[in-house]
Amino acid sequence: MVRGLSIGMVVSMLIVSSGSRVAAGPPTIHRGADVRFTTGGTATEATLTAEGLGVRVSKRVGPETVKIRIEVANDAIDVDANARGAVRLARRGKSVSLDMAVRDAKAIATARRLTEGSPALKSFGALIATLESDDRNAAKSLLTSWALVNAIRGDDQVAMGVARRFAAPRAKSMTPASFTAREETPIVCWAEYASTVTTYYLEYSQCLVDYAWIPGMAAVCSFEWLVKAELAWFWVIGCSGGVPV
Amino acid sequence: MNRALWLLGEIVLGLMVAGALTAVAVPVLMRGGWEAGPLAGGLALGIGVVLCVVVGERLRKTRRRDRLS
Repeated sequence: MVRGLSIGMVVSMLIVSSGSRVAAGPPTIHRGADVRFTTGGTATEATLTAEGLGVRVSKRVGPETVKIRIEVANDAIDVDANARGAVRLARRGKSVSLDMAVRDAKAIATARRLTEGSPALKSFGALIATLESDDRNAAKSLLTSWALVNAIRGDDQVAMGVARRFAAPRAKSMTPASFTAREETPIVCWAEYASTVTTYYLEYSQCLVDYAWIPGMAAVCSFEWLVKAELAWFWVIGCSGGVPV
Repeated sequence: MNRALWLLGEIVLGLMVAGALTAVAVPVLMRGGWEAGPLAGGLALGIGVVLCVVVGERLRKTRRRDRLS
């Protein structure tokens, strides 16, 4: 029996430790972290500055107006817009004014010519690409500015993409059974597990109080609790990369 | 039944028993003012697997003895 027990322990360790081998890998780098945000402002005006990849985007938002400045070492673009839809785009001493409600094709063409080959705009695009998975409000604010600049240049696809992204619900519908990259430490995994099983326990108690008077429902409550508890248990094993210690 | 398969069953069952044990123990301990750490999870895992292997082996031997007698 001792032999069987020792074989069992070895096989058990092999099973639960397999996750840790999968988990070993380089930590993921959040690309959005390369961008430095600075917020500030007064009671009537909010300011946001984003710096990264050699570009500096500053935004001043008032009750009725928004002023955006996109600048790199040798180029700068200024955008002034107001709540009525009037927009002014300026670069290298030239400017164009247009009404976003009318979308005059001639004005849009002028705006496109004005910003053609702009290093500031290209750098802003690269900056936006790094913020693809960034959900911070500052990043969202920059995305809307990017959408506005592109809408001024006649490209509505960017604005539509931003709108879709903001409208899309967050993809978090299930508890992951295993991790492909080690993102959590065992103590963090355990803390989450402890709070989860405590919630399940309370739900189970409530289920018994609410439905145990129905014949067979106590067994249903127990089954539901057991399935959820087991899922949470195997999750914490996977999260910890093996033995949950 | 194949002994290795039986053993695998014992281990898997042990993992599940450990899960149920922890799911009961952690909220009860928290209610009692005790903060169960991740070590408690490892302990529950060990207890569950050892318990299931011990009980499973006893059961397997009893079955074999009964079949032979």
